[in-house]
Amino acid sequence: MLGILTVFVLQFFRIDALIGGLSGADIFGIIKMLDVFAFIETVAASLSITWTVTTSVLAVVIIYLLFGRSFCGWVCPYDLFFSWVQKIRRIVFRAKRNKPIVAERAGKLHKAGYILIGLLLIASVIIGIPFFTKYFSHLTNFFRMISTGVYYSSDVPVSVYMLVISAGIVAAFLILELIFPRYWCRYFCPVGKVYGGFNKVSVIKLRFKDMETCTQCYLCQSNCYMDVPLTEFIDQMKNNEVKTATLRSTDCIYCGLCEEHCGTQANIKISMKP
Amino acid sequence: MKKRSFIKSITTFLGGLLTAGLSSIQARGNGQELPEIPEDEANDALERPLHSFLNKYDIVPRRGRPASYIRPPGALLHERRFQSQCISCGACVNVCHIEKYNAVVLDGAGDVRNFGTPYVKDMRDFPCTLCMKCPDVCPTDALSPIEIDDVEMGMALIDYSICLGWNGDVCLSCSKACPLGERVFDFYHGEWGNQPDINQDCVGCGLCVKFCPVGGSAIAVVTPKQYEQLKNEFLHERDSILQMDHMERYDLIYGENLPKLMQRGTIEERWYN
Repeated sequence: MLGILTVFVLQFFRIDALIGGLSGADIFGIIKMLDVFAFIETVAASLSITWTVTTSVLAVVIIYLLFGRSFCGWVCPYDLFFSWVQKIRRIVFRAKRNKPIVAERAGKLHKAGYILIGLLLIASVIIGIPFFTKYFSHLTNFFRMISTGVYYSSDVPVSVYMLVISAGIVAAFLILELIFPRYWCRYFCPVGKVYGGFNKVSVIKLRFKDMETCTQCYLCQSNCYMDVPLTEFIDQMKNNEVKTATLRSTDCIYCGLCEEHCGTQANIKISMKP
Repeated sequence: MKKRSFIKSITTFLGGLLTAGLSSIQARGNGQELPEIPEDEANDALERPLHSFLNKYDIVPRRGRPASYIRPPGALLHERRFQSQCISCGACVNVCHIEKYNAVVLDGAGDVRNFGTPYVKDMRDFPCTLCMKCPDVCPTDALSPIEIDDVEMGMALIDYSICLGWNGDVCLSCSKACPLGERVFDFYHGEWGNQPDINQDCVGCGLCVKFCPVGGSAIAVVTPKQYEQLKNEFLHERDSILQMDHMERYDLIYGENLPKLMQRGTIEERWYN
């Protein structure tokens, strides 16, 4: 996560490995990348698809056809920040571990997330501006904040308002995280939701190698902060007496915590094998 | 150590090392230093009349808002189309910084529609050099690769009342700085100087703005749209100056323009803020 961020930071030292941010970037001046939700929004805003936009989104689509939603677990800087916020929550505010959210409520929140995507797209069409990506996106604002901050400190012309506004939005995301732990990642983030769709067809998947060894301790579920329905899945598989199983949940970000904490140490594996 | 935390700590360590090393390199390189302007003086300058024509057509910066949004080269000419394609990813800004030109800036508090869109902010210090890197990195078609001759960022206009070449001197700074050369410049040579004029082939990169020796530059760049609005009257003004007889011109230059020019010598205000 930090490794990829470091590559992005390189551009401020005038090394052109990766130019741009996570919503749009250019690698070595060869491959252009465009976030899939940003692509959808630009298409909605301009009501046209151009060649450059298509080719640049294609690179990202190919990557996530391989790796599914692992963007959230391994690339998105907010996964890291939010885990820091969780630590602060636990240490400073003495908060207990997140209580699992009741399935019914989770379903409602998921629905709210999809409605939010719809509203954002409608707003983009109406005002003709990629609404979320340009104004509120956590990714855009994070990179805008860093770049304006760096340039401001090195006496290069910037808009100070931009620095203040984007830093404010980033701070708002962190404060919301403090109040509603992981609600943004799990239910509302349109970027992650779009990548979640790739999970259904991606090469990467969560594989249960040997269900017979599973003791149904549900350590995996208690460590999963994305609320992947592991308990239900394991119960179902146990009932059906299946030996191996694969789980393709749109919520899974392949962070590897379930694999790490598995009671049998061998059952759950993030697998790229077909 | 667990796999995930191990990878995490390794990347953290490497990232930290790399950042520290690079920042020490960065610290050694010397950046361009700008003259310090006292706060109140800079604020005064905002209210002072700027170029006579900019003032006349009300093309003046409001607080935080630029006088004109001069887009990077290759930008979609239709403003609404440009706004709909730009996702504010900052690739153009960062590539401009990598190339050490620092011309392109993301707008912060102009108006809502222009929020987060790139424009060339301060041409007096950081003009666009037409390196054409930003269209190459733009992941959407907001900036599309284009020939230098076809760029339409704006139109540079000379303020005849403070231009040295129009007030009894011979100064070729702007035409020497121009990356497009002679096909952009017309000269009305006469007894009152070489009288340079920029014609409509100008792409609006703003290099002439930077290299004008007049305090605060006698040249300003306006967007193509703004140029359409003020074109007729502006050209009419030029023609009327050219048609003046000797005494009229003498009075204009020695009575009005030269005192104004002398004042200008010390002005350091930023018009493109």
